[in-house]
Amino acid sequence: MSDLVYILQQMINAVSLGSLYALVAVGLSIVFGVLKLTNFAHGDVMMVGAFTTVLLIGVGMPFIPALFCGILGAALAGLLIERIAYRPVRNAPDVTRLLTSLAVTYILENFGILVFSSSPRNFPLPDALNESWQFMGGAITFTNINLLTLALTFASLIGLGWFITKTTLGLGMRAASEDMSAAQLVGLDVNRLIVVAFIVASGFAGLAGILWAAQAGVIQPQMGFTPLLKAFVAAIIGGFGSIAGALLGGFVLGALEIFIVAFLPDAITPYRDAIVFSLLIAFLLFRPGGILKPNREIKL
Amino acid sequence: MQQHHNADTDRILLETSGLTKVFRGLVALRDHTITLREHEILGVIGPNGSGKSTFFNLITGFSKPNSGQISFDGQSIAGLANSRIVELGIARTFQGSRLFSSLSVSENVLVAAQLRHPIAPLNAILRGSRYYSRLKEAQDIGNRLLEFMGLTAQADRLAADLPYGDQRRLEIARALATEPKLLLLDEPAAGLDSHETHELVSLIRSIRDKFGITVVVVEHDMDLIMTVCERIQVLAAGEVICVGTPEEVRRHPRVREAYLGYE
Repeated sequence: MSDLVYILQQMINAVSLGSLYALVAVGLSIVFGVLKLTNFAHGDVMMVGAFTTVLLIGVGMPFIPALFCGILGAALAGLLIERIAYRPVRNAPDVTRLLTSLAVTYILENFGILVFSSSPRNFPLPDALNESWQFMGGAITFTNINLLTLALTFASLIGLGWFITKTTLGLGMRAASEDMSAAQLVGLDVNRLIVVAFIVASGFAGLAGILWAAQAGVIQPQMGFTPLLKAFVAAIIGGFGSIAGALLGGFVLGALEIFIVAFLPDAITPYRDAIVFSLLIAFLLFRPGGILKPNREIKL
Repeated sequence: MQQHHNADTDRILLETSGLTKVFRGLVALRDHTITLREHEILGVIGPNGSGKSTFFNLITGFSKPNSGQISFDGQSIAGLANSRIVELGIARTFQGSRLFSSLSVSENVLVAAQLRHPIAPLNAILRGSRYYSRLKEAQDIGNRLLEFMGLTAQADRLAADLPYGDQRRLEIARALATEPKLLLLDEPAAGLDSHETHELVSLIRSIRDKFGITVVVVEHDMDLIMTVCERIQVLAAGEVICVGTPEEVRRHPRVREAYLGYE
Protein backbone atom coordinates (compact mmCIF):
# COMPACT_ATOMS: atom_id res chain seq x y z
CA MET A 1 0.00 0.00 0.00
CA SER A 2 2.63 2.51 0.98
CA ASP A 3 4.56 1.60 -2.18
CA LEU A 4 1.54 2.49 -4.23
CA VAL A 5 1.15 5.79 -2.44
CA TYR A 6 4.83 6.53 -2.99
CA ILE A 7 4.43 5.82 -6.70
CA LEU A 8 1.39 8.06 -6.82
CA GLN A 9 3.28 10.90 -5.14
CA GLN A 10 6.16 10.49 -7.60
CA MET A 11 3.74 10.52 -10.52
CA ILE A 12 2.37 13.81 -9.30
CA ASN A 13 5.92 15.14 -9.04
CA ALA A 14 6.70 13.90 -12.55
CA VAL A 15 3.69 15.62 -14.07
CA SER A 16 4.48 18.77 -12.15
CA LEU A 17 8.12 18.93 -13.30
CA GLY A 18 7.23 17.79 -16.81
CA SER A 19 4.63 20.49 -17.23
CA LEU A 20 7.25 23.15 -16.44
CA TYR A 21 9.70 21.66 -18.94
CA ALA A 22 6.90 21.50 -21.49
CA LEU A 23 6.05 25.14 -20.89
CA VAL A 24 9.62 26.23 -21.68
CA ALA A 25 10.12 23.77 -24.55
CA VAL A 26 6.92 24.88 -26.26
CA GLY A 27 8.22 28.45 -26.44
CA LEU A 28 11.51 27.26 -27.95
CA SER A 29 9.58 25.29 -30.55
CA ILE A 30 7.33 28.19 -31.50
CA VAL A 31 10.29 30.48 -32.19
CA PHE A 32 12.22 27.73 -33.93
CA GLY A 33 9.17 27.04 -36.08
CA VAL A 34 8.95 30.50 -37.63
CA LEU A 35 12.60 31.60 -37.51
CA LYS A 36 14.51 28.29 -37.62
CA LEU A 37 16.52 29.80 -34.79
CA THR A 38 17.45 28.21 -31.47
CA ASN A 39 16.64 31.07 -29.17
CA PHE A 40 19.13 30.85 -26.29
CA ALA A 41 17.73 34.08 -24.87
CA HIS A 42 14.53 32.19 -24.08
CA GLY A 43 15.89 31.30 -20.64
CA ASP A 44 16.61 34.94 -19.89
CA VAL A 45 13.10 35.92 -20.88
CA MET A 46 12.06 33.54 -18.08
CA MET A 47 14.28 35.56 -15.75
CA VAL A 48 12.70 38.84 -16.93
CA GLY A 49 9.25 37.43 -16.13
CA ALA A 50 10.26 36.22 -12.69
CA PHE A 51 12.05 39.46 -11.73
CA THR A 52 9.14 41.59 -12.94
CA THR A 53 6.80 39.61 -10.72
CA VAL A 54 9.13 39.76 -7.71
CA LEU A 55 9.64 43.52 -8.10
CA LEU A 56 5.90 44.13 -8.33
CA ILE A 57 5.19 41.96 -5.28
CA GLY A 58 7.92 44.01 -3.58
CA VAL A 59 5.98 47.23 -4.17
CA GLY A 60 2.83 45.68 -2.74
CA MET A 61 1.05 44.13 -5.71
CA PRO A 62 -0.80 40.88 -4.87
CA PHE A 63 0.69 37.68 -6.32
CA ILE A 64 -1.83 36.90 -9.06
CA PRO A 65 -1.84 40.35 -10.74
CA ALA A 66 1.96 40.45 -10.37
CA LEU A 67 2.14 37.08 -12.10
CA PHE A 68 0.16 38.34 -15.08
CA CYS A 69 2.27 41.51 -15.24
CA GLY A 70 5.35 39.28 -15.21
CA ILE A 71 3.99 37.38 -18.21
CA LEU A 72 3.35 40.69 -19.99
CA GLY A 73 6.85 41.90 -19.09
CA ALA A 74 8.36 38.75 -20.58
CA ALA A 75 6.24 39.10 -23.73
CA LEU A 76 7.42 42.69 -24.08
CA ALA A 77 11.03 41.59 -23.64
CA GLY A 78 10.56 38.99 -26.38
CA LEU A 79 9.02 41.61 -28.65
CA LEU A 80 12.00 43.94 -28.14
CA ILE A 81 14.56 41.15 -28.59
CA GLU A 82 12.99 40.24 -31.93
CA ARG A 83 12.77 43.83 -33.10
CA ILE A 84 16.21 45.00 -31.96
CA ALA A 85 18.43 41.92 -32.19
CA TYR A 86 16.92 39.25 -34.44
CA ARG A 87 15.18 41.16 -37.20
CA PRO A 88 18.35 42.86 -38.54
CA VAL A 89 20.05 39.45 -38.93
CA ARG A 90 16.99 37.53 -40.08
CA ASN A 91 18.45 36.70 -43.48
CA ALA A 92 22.01 36.28 -42.24
CA PRO A 93 23.72 32.87 -42.13
CA ASP A 94 22.68 30.50 -39.33
CA VAL A 95 25.94 30.97 -37.43
CA THR A 96 25.39 34.73 -37.26
CA ARG A 97 21.88 34.29 -35.95
CA LEU A 98 22.98 31.72 -33.40
CA LEU A 99 25.73 34.00 -32.13
CA THR A 100 23.26 36.89 -31.98
CA SER A 101 21.01 34.85 -29.74
CA LEU A 102 23.97 33.99 -27.48
CA ALA A 103 24.90 37.67 -27.36
CA VAL A 104 21.37 38.58 -26.28
CA THR A 105 21.67 35.95 -23.54
CA TYR A 106 24.85 37.47 -22.16
CA ILE A 107 23.54 41.01 -22.39
CA LEU A 108 20.36 40.14 -20.49
CA GLU A 109 22.14 38.08 -17.84
CA ASN A 110 24.76 40.73 -17.22
CA PHE A 111 22.10 43.41 -17.13
CA GLY A 112 20.33 41.29 -14.52
CA ILE A 113 23.54 40.94 -12.49
CA LEU A 114 24.19 44.68 -12.75
CA VAL A 115 20.74 45.59 -11.49
CA PHE A 116 20.02 42.80 -8.99
CA SER A 117 23.54 41.40 -8.27
CA SER A 118 24.22 37.75 -8.90
CA SER A 119 23.28 36.54 -5.43
CA PRO A 120 19.98 34.70 -5.13
CA ARG A 121 16.98 36.44 -3.59
CA ASN A 122 13.94 34.99 -1.93
CA PHE A 123 10.84 34.66 -3.98
CA PRO A 124 8.19 36.38 -1.84
CA LEU A 125 5.48 33.77 -2.19
CA PRO A 126 2.32 34.58 -0.20
CA ASP A 127 1.83 32.26 2.78
CA ALA A 128 -1.47 31.03 1.42
CA LEU A 129 0.34 29.45 -1.53
CA ASN A 130 2.80 27.67 0.73
CA GLU A 131 0.03 25.90 2.60
CA SER A 132 0.14 22.21 1.94
CA TRP A 133 -2.46 19.52 1.56
CA GLN A 134 -1.81 16.14 3.03
CA PHE A 135 -3.46 12.87 2.17
CA MET A 136 -3.06 9.33 3.47
CA GLY A 137 -1.54 10.53 6.70
CA GLY A 138 1.02 12.77 5.02
CA ALA A 139 2.21 10.20 2.48
CA ILE A 140 0.96 12.39 -0.33
CA THR A 141 1.66 16.07 0.02
CA PHE A 142 1.29 18.99 -2.25
CA THR A 143 1.23 22.70 -1.72
CA ASN A 144 -1.03 25.33 -3.17
CA ILE A 145 1.77 26.57 -5.42
CA ASN A 146 2.06 23.01 -6.82
CA LEU A 147 -1.64 23.07 -7.57
CA LEU A 148 -1.50 26.55 -9.05
CA THR A 149 1.45 25.55 -11.23
CA LEU A 150 -0.41 22.54 -12.59
CA ALA A 151 -3.59 24.54 -13.15
CA LEU A 152 -1.83 27.40 -14.94
CA THR A 153 0.41 25.21 -17.09
CA PHE A 154 -2.46 23.02 -18.23
CA ALA A 155 -4.75 25.98 -18.84
CA SER A 156 -2.10 27.78 -20.87
CA LEU A 157 -1.11 24.68 -22.85
CA ILE A 158 -4.76 24.01 -23.70
CA GLY A 159 -5.08 27.68 -24.67
CA LEU A 160 -2.05 27.33 -26.90
CA GLY A 161 -3.52 24.24 -28.54
CA TRP A 162 -6.68 26.19 -29.26
CA PHE A 163 -4.71 29.13 -30.61
CA ILE A 164 -2.59 26.99 -32.92
CA THR A 165 -5.33 24.76 -34.27
CA LYS A 166 -8.48 26.87 -34.12
CA THR A 167 -7.51 30.43 -34.99
CA THR A 168 -6.58 31.91 -38.34
CA LEU A 169 -3.45 33.35 -36.74
CA GLY A 170 -2.37 29.91 -35.55
CA LEU A 171 -3.09 28.54 -39.00
CA GLY A 172 -0.79 31.16 -40.50
CA MET A 173 1.90 30.30 -37.97
CA ARG A 174 1.71 26.61 -38.83
CA ALA A 175 1.97 27.43 -42.53
CA ALA A 176 4.91 29.79 -42.01
CA SER A 177 6.67 27.24 -39.78
CA GLU A 178 6.49 24.69 -42.54
CA ASP A 179 7.57 26.75 -45.52
CA MET A 180 8.31 30.43 -45.05
CA SER A 181 8.63 31.34 -48.71
CA ALA A 182 5.49 29.44 -49.70
CA ALA A 183 3.76 31.34 -46.90
CA GLN A 184 4.90 34.64 -48.37
CA LEU A 185 3.78 33.40 -51.75
CA VAL A 186 0.18 33.09 -50.58
CA GLY A 187 0.40 36.54 -49.07
CA LEU A 188 0.92 35.82 -45.37
CA ASP A 189 2.36 38.76 -43.44
CA VAL A 190 5.47 37.02 -42.21
CA ASN A 191 6.71 39.93 -40.08
CA ARG A 192 3.48 39.95 -38.17
CA LEU A 193 3.51 36.19 -37.67
CA ILE A 194 7.05 36.32 -36.30
CA VAL A 195 6.11 39.10 -33.88
CA VAL A 196 3.10 37.11 -32.69
CA ALA A 197 5.28 34.01 -32.30
CA PHE A 198 7.73 35.93 -30.11
CA ILE A 199 4.97 37.42 -27.96
CA VAL A 200 3.37 34.02 -27.39
CA ALA A 201 6.66 32.15 -26.84
CA SER A 202 7.99 34.82 -24.48
CA GLY A 203 4.73 34.97 -22.54
CA PHE A 204 5.10 31.22 -22.01
CA ALA A 205 8.72 31.70 -20.94
CA GLY A 206 7.60 34.37 -18.47
CA LEU A 207 4.95 32.12 -16.94
CA ALA A 208 7.43 29.26 -16.73
CA GLY A 209 10.06 31.51 -15.13
CA ILE A 210 7.66 32.79 -12.47
CA LEU A 211 6.38 29.32 -11.60
CA TRP A 212 9.87 27.84 -11.63
CA ALA A 213 11.14 30.53 -9.25
CA ALA A 214 8.04 30.29 -7.07
CA GLN A 215 8.51 26.54 -6.68
CA ALA A 216 12.23 26.90 -6.00
CA GLY A 217 11.66 29.85 -3.67
CA VAL A 218 14.61 31.82 -5.05
CA ILE A 219 15.44 33.95 -8.09
CA GLN A 220 18.74 34.99 -9.57
CA PRO A 221 19.84 36.42 -12.94
CA GLN A 222 21.16 33.12 -14.33
CA MET A 223 18.08 31.19 -13.26
CA GLY A 224 17.03 30.60 -16.88
CA PHE A 225 20.04 28.56 -17.86
CA THR A 226 19.18 25.15 -16.40
CA PRO A 227 15.52 25.15 -17.46
CA LEU A 228 16.54 26.27 -20.95
CA LEU A 229 19.01 23.42 -21.26
CA LYS A 230 16.45 20.91 -20.00
CA ALA A 231 13.77 22.31 -22.29
CA PHE A 232 16.19 21.98 -25.18
CA VAL A 233 16.68 18.31 -24.32
CA ALA A 234 12.90 17.89 -23.99
CA ALA A 235 12.29 19.49 -27.36
CA ILE A 236 14.81 17.23 -29.07
CA ILE A 237 13.50 14.09 -27.39
CA GLY A 238 9.96 14.96 -28.45
CA GLY A 239 10.79 16.21 -31.93
CA PHE A 240 12.46 19.57 -32.43
CA GLY A 241 10.38 22.24 -34.06
CA SER A 242 7.09 20.54 -33.33
CA ILE A 243 4.88 21.93 -30.58
CA ALA A 244 3.35 18.54 -29.86
CA GLY A 245 6.89 17.16 -29.68
CA ALA A 246 7.90 19.82 -27.15
CA LEU A 247 4.93 18.91 -24.96
CA LEU A 248 5.61 15.22 -25.17
CA GLY A 249 9.34 15.69 -24.60
CA GLY A 250 8.70 17.89 -21.56
CA PHE A 251 6.58 15.28 -19.83
CA VAL A 252 8.87 12.41 -20.81
CA LEU A 253 11.88 14.27 -19.42
CA GLY A 254 10.03 15.20 -16.22
CA ALA A 255 9.01 11.57 -15.71
CA LEU A 256 12.52 10.33 -16.43
CA GLU A 257 14.19 12.67 -13.96
CA ILE A 258 11.73 11.85 -11.19
CA PHE A 259 12.13 8.15 -11.95
CA ILE A 260 15.92 8.40 -11.64
CA VAL A 261 15.71 10.24 -8.35
CA ALA A 262 12.85 8.31 -6.80
CA PHE A 263 13.29 4.73 -7.92
CA LEU A 264 16.93 4.13 -8.75
CA PRO A 265 19.57 3.42 -6.08
CA ASP A 266 20.90 6.46 -4.27
CA ALA A 267 24.33 5.91 -5.79
CA ILE A 268 22.92 6.69 -9.24
CA THR A 269 20.89 9.75 -8.27
CA PRO A 270 23.79 12.25 -8.54
CA TYR A 271 24.21 11.20 -12.16
CA ARG A 272 20.72 12.35 -13.08
CA ASP A 273 21.85 15.10 -15.45
CA ALA A 274 24.53 12.87 -16.96
CA ILE A 275 21.88 10.28 -17.77
CA VAL A 276 19.58 12.93 -19.24
CA PHE A 277 22.28 14.38 -21.47
CA SER A 278 23.45 10.93 -22.53
CA LEU A 279 19.91 10.32 -23.64
CA LEU A 280 20.06 13.58 -25.59
CA ILE A 281 23.23 12.43 -27.36
CA ALA A 282 21.62 9.07 -28.10
CA PHE A 283 18.62 10.79 -29.65
CA LEU A 284 20.80 13.14 -31.70
CA LEU A 285 22.77 10.16 -33.00
CA PHE A 286 20.05 7.62 -33.61
CA ARG A 287 16.79 9.45 -33.88
CA PRO A 288 17.47 13.15 -34.50
CA GLY A 289 13.84 13.73 -35.40
CA GLY A 290 12.78 12.81 -31.85
CA ILE A 291 9.95 10.53 -30.76
CA LEU A 292 7.47 12.19 -33.12
CA LYS A 293 10.01 12.39 -35.93
CA PRO A 294 8.76 15.47 -37.73
CA ASN A 295 9.88 15.74 -41.36
CA ARG A 296 12.54 18.21 -40.60
CA GLU A 297 16.26 18.13 -40.18
CA ILE A 298 17.68 19.51 -36.98
CA LYS A 299 19.47 22.75 -37.50
CA LEU A 300 20.85 24.81 -34.67
CA MET B 1 -15.52 30.93 -75.62
CA GLN B 2 -11.88 31.65 -76.30
CA GLN B 3 -12.84 33.93 -79.15
CA HIS B 4 -15.14 35.78 -76.83
CA HIS B 5 -12.42 36.42 -74.30
CA ASN B 6 -9.86 37.47 -76.83
CA ALA B 7 -12.27 39.83 -78.47
CA ASP B 8 -13.44 41.69 -75.39
CA THR B 9 -10.07 42.99 -74.28
CA ASP B 10 -6.86 44.28 -75.68
CA ARG B 11 -5.77 45.47 -72.29
CA ILE B 12 -2.16 44.67 -71.53
CA LEU B 13 -1.76 42.90 -68.19
CA LEU B 14 1.93 42.10 -68.10
CA GLU B 15 4.79 43.57 -70.03
CA THR B 16 8.49 42.92 -69.76
CA SER B 17 11.19 44.70 -71.70
CA GLY B 18 14.93 44.19 -71.75
CA LEU B 19 14.66 41.88 -68.74
CA THR B 20 18.09 40.48 -67.97
CA LYS B 21 19.31 38.26 -65.15
CA VAL B 22 22.91 37.20 -64.66
CA PHE B 23 23.96 34.55 -62.13
CA ARG B 24 27.71 34.66 -61.43
CA GLY B 25 28.56 35.73 -64.94
CA LEU B 26 26.13 33.27 -66.48
CA VAL B 27 23.31 34.92 -68.38
CA ALA B 28 20.12 33.14 -67.29
CA LEU B 29 17.83 35.49 -69.20
CA ARG B 30 18.84 38.11 -71.73
CA ASP B 31 16.77 40.99 -72.99
CA HIS B 32 13.47 39.22 -72.38
CA THR B 33 10.44 40.95 -73.80
CA ILE B 34 6.83 39.83 -73.77
CA THR B 35 3.47 41.56 -73.90
CA LEU B 36 0.65 39.63 -72.30
CA ARG B 37 -2.95 40.64 -72.87
CA GLU B 38 -5.65 40.13 -70.30
CA HIS B 39 -7.43 36.73 -70.52
CA GLU B 40 -4.71 35.25 -72.69
CA ILE B 41 -3.18 31.81 -72.16
CA LEU B 42 0.52 32.05 -72.91
CA GLY B 43 2.92 29.14 -73.04
CA VAL B 44 6.65 29.40 -72.42
CA ILE B 45 8.74 26.49 -73.66
CA GLY B 46 12.41 25.79 -73.95
CA PRO B 47 14.97 23.20 -72.94
CA ASN B 48 16.36 23.00 -69.40
CA GLY B 49 18.34 26.09 -68.49
CA SER B 50 16.68 28.16 -71.18
CA GLY B 51 15.50 30.75 -68.66
CA LYS B 52 11.88 29.68 -68.12
CA SER B 53 12.09 29.44 -64.36
CA THR B 54 14.20 32.59 -64.16
CA PHE B 55 11.41 34.38 -65.99
CA PHE B 56 8.88 33.22 -63.35
CA ASN B 57 11.22 34.03 -60.47
CA LEU B 58 11.77 37.57 -61.72
CA ILE B 59 8.07 38.23 -62.19
CA THR B 60 7.12 36.88 -58.78
CA GLY B 61 9.87 38.70 -56.91
CA PHE B 62 11.89 35.61 -55.97
CA SER B 63 14.90 37.21 -57.60
CA LYS B 64 15.66 40.70 -58.80
CA PRO B 65 16.56 41.52 -62.42
CA ASN B 66 19.96 43.03 -63.25
CA SER B 67 18.24 45.27 -65.75
CA GLY B 68 14.96 45.68 -67.54
CA GLN B 69 11.37 46.51 -66.76
CA ILE B 70 8.41 44.50 -65.56
CA SER B 71 5.07 46.22 -65.63
CA PHE B 72 1.96 44.54 -64.24
CA ASP B 73 -1.47 46.09 -64.51
CA GLY B 74 0.13 49.45 -65.29
CA GLN B 75 2.55 49.35 -62.36
CA SER B 76 6.27 48.69 -62.32
CA ILE B 77 6.93 45.60 -60.17
CA ALA B 78 10.59 44.79 -60.87
CA GLY B 79 12.34 44.22 -57.55
CA LEU B 80 9.23 44.37 -55.34
CA ALA B 81 8.99 41.86 -52.45
CA ASN B 82 7.13 38.72 -53.41
CA SER B 83 4.45 39.26 -50.77
CA ARG B 84 3.68 42.63 -52.37
CA ILE B 85 3.49 41.04 -55.82
CA VAL B 86 0.98 38.46 -54.60
CA GLU B 87 -1.08 41.29 -53.21
CA LEU B 88 -1.06 43.01 -56.60
CA GLY B 89 -2.49 39.85 -58.14
CA ILE B 90 0.17 37.43 -59.38
CA ALA B 91 0.00 33.87 -58.07
CA ARG B 92 2.22 30.95 -58.97
CA THR B 93 2.76 27.25 -58.47
CA PHE B 94 6.12 25.50 -58.27
CA GLN B 95 7.70 22.68 -60.22
CA GLY B 96 7.81 20.42 -57.21
CA SER B 97 4.96 20.60 -54.76
CA ARG B 98 5.30 23.33 -52.17
CA LEU B 99 2.12 22.60 -50.24
CA PHE B 100 1.85 22.99 -46.48
CA SER B 101 1.95 19.23 -46.07
CA SER B 102 1.05 19.12 -42.37
CA LEU B 103 -2.04 21.26 -42.93
CA SER B 104 -5.34 19.85 -44.13
CA VAL B 105 -6.51 20.37 -47.69
CA SER B 106 -9.06 22.98 -46.66
CA GLU B 107 -6.53 24.74 -44.42
CA ASN B 108 -4.08 25.05 -47.31
CA VAL B 109 -6.66 26.96 -49.27
CA LEU B 110 -7.96 28.92 -46.27
CA VAL B 111 -4.47 30.26 -45.49
CA ALA B 112 -4.27 31.73 -48.97
CA ALA B 113 -7.84 33.03 -49.00
CA GLN B 114 -7.02 35.20 -45.97
CA LEU B 115 -5.02 37.48 -48.25
CA ARG B 116 -8.19 39.15 -49.55
CA HIS B 117 -10.22 38.57 -46.39
CA PRO B 118 -7.80 39.43 -43.61
CA ILE B 119 -8.60 39.04 -39.93
CA ALA B 120 -6.68 41.31 -37.57
CA PRO B 121 -4.45 39.40 -35.09
CA LEU B 122 -6.39 40.39 -31.98
CA ASN B 123 -9.69 39.74 -33.71
CA ALA B 124 -8.52 36.21 -34.50
CA ILE B 125 -8.40 35.59 -30.74
CA LEU B 126 -11.16 37.85 -29.42
CA ARG B 127 -13.56 37.04 -32.27
CA GLY B 128 -15.30 40.37 -32.57
CA SER B 129 -18.06 41.37 -34.92
CA ARG B 130 -16.25 41.11 -38.24
CA TYR B 131 -14.41 37.91 -37.40
CA TYR B 132 -17.11 35.44 -38.39
CA SER B 133 -18.13 37.25 -41.57
CA ARG B 134 -14.51 37.49 -42.75
CA LEU B 135 -13.80 33.89 -41.88
CA LYS B 136 -16.93 32.79 -43.72
CA GLU B 137 -15.91 34.76 -46.83
CA ALA B 138 -12.53 33.07 -46.84
CA GLN B 139 -14.02 29.63 -46.16
CA ASP B 140 -16.61 30.07 -48.93
CA ILE B 141 -13.89 30.88 -51.44
CA GLY B 142 -11.90 27.88 -50.27
CA ASN B 143 -14.91 25.57 -50.52
CA ARG B 144 -15.79 26.79 -53.99
CA LEU B 145 -12.24 26.25 -55.20
CA LEU B 146 -12.05 22.76 -53.72
CA GLU B 147 -15.31 21.94 -55.45
CA PHE B 148 -14.01 23.38 -58.71
CA MET B 149 -10.92 21.18 -58.40
CA GLY B 150 -12.90 18.12 -57.36
CA LEU B 151 -11.19 18.02 -53.97
CA THR B 152 -14.23 18.53 -51.74
CA ALA B 153 -14.24 14.92 -50.55
CA GLN B 154 -10.60 15.29 -49.47
CA ALA B 155 -11.09 18.57 -47.59
CA ASP B 156 -10.19 17.21 -44.16
CA ARG B 157 -7.26 15.03 -45.19
CA LEU B 158 -3.69 16.18 -44.67
CA ALA B 159 -2.18 17.60 -47.84
CA ALA B 160 0.72 15.16 -47.47
CA ASP B 161 -1.69 12.19 -47.68
CA LEU B 162 -3.17 13.17 -51.06
CA PRO B 163 -2.24 11.29 -54.22
CA TYR B 164 0.25 13.21 -56.35
CA GLY B 165 -2.25 14.39 -58.95
CA ASP B 166 -4.53 15.79 -56.24
CA GLN B 167 -1.58 17.59 -54.65
CA ARG B 168 -0.87 19.34 -57.92
CA ARG B 169 -4.52 20.41 -58.18
CA LEU B 170 -4.51 21.57 -54.57
CA GLU B 171 -1.49 23.74 -55.30
CA ILE B 172 -3.41 25.39 -58.13
CA ALA B 173 -6.42 25.81 -55.83
CA ARG B 174 -4.22 27.45 -53.21
CA ALA B 175 -2.80 29.87 -55.79
CA LEU B 176 -6.32 30.71 -56.98
CA ALA B 177 -7.41 31.38 -53.40
CA THR B 178 -5.28 34.53 -53.42
CA GLU B 179 -7.73 35.74 -56.11
CA PRO B 180 -5.06 36.61 -58.67
CA LYS B 181 -5.36 38.37 -62.02
CA LEU B 182 -2.45 36.38 -63.38
CA LEU B 183 -1.66 32.75 -62.64
CA LEU B 184 1.77 31.32 -63.41
CA LEU B 185 1.93 27.51 -63.68
CA ASP B 186 5.41 26.05 -63.47
CA GLU B 187 5.43 22.67 -65.23
CA PRO B 188 1.92 21.71 -64.11
CA ALA B 189 1.98 18.48 -66.13
CA ALA B 190 5.21 17.14 -64.63
CA GLY B 191 4.56 13.68 -63.21
CA LEU B 192 0.97 13.47 -64.46
CA ASP B 193 -0.26 10.57 -66.61
CA SER B 194 -1.88 11.24 -69.99
CA HIS B 195 -5.39 11.16 -68.56
CA GLU B 196 -4.48 13.69 -65.88
CA THR B 197 -2.69 15.85 -68.44
CA HIS B 198 -5.84 15.81 -70.55
CA GLU B 199 -7.85 16.98 -67.53
CA LEU B 200 -5.28 19.69 -66.91
CA VAL B 201 -5.95 21.15 -70.36
CA SER B 202 -9.63 21.67 -69.62
CA LEU B 203 -8.79 22.86 -66.12
CA ILE B 204 -6.49 25.59 -67.43
CA ARG B 205 -9.13 26.65 -69.95
CA SER B 206 -11.84 26.84 -67.33
CA ILE B 207 -9.60 28.83 -64.97
CA ARG B 208 -9.42 31.45 -67.68
CA ASP B 209 -13.04 31.20 -68.78
CA LYS B 210 -14.72 30.93 -65.39
CA PHE B 211 -12.55 33.26 -63.34
CA GLY B 212 -11.28 35.52 -66.13
CA ILE B 213 -7.71 34.87 -65.02
CA THR B 214 -4.78 35.29 -67.39
CA VAL B 215 -2.53 32.21 -67.42
CA VAL B 216 1.11 31.63 -68.24
CA VAL B 217 2.24 28.00 -68.47
CA VAL B 218 5.86 26.93 -68.40
CA GLU B 219 6.14 23.37 -69.68
CA HIS B 220 8.29 20.67 -71.23
CA ASP B 221 5.21 18.85 -72.47
CA MET B 222 4.83 20.20 -76.03
CA ASP B 223 1.44 18.60 -76.55
CA LEU B 224 -0.04 20.34 -73.53
CA ILE B 225 1.39 23.71 -74.56
CA MET B 226 0.29 23.35 -78.19
CA THR B 227 -3.24 22.35 -77.14
CA VAL B 228 -3.98 24.85 -74.43
CA CYS B 229 -2.02 27.99 -75.29
CA GLU B 230 -3.06 30.69 -77.71
CA ARG B 231 0.42 32.08 -77.99
CA ILE B 232 3.74 30.50 -77.24
CA GLN B 233 7.13 32.00 -76.51
CA VAL B 234 10.16 29.84 -77.13
CA LEU B 235 13.32 30.39 -75.08
CA ALA B 236 16.75 28.87 -75.58
CA ALA B 237 19.91 29.64 -73.61
CA GLY B 238 18.22 32.63 -71.98
CA GLU B 239 17.12 34.27 -75.20
CA VAL B 240 13.78 34.62 -76.90
CA ILE B 241 13.75 32.61 -80.13
CA CYS B 242 10.24 33.42 -81.24
CA VAL B 243 6.70 34.25 -80.15
CA GLY B 244 3.57 33.28 -82.01
CA THR B 245 0.56 31.03 -82.31
CA PRO B 246 1.14 27.28 -81.87
CA GLU B 247 1.06 26.92 -85.67
CA GLU B 248 3.63 29.67 -86.22
CA VAL B 249 5.90 28.30 -83.52
CA ARG B 250 5.62 24.78 -84.93
CA ARG B 251 6.78 26.00 -88.33
CA HIS B 252 9.59 28.22 -87.05
CA PRO B 253 12.93 26.88 -88.31
CA ARG B 254 14.89 27.56 -85.14
CA VAL B 255 12.26 25.83 -83.04
CA ARG B 256 12.36 22.79 -85.33
CA GLU B 257 16.09 22.87 -84.89
CA ALA B 258 15.92 23.10 -81.10
CA TYR B 259 13.26 20.40 -80.89
CA LEU B 260 14.54 18.19 -83.68
CA GLY B 261 12.48 15.07 -84.03
CA TYR B 262 9.32 16.74 -82.87
CA GLU B 263 6.21 16.14 -85.04
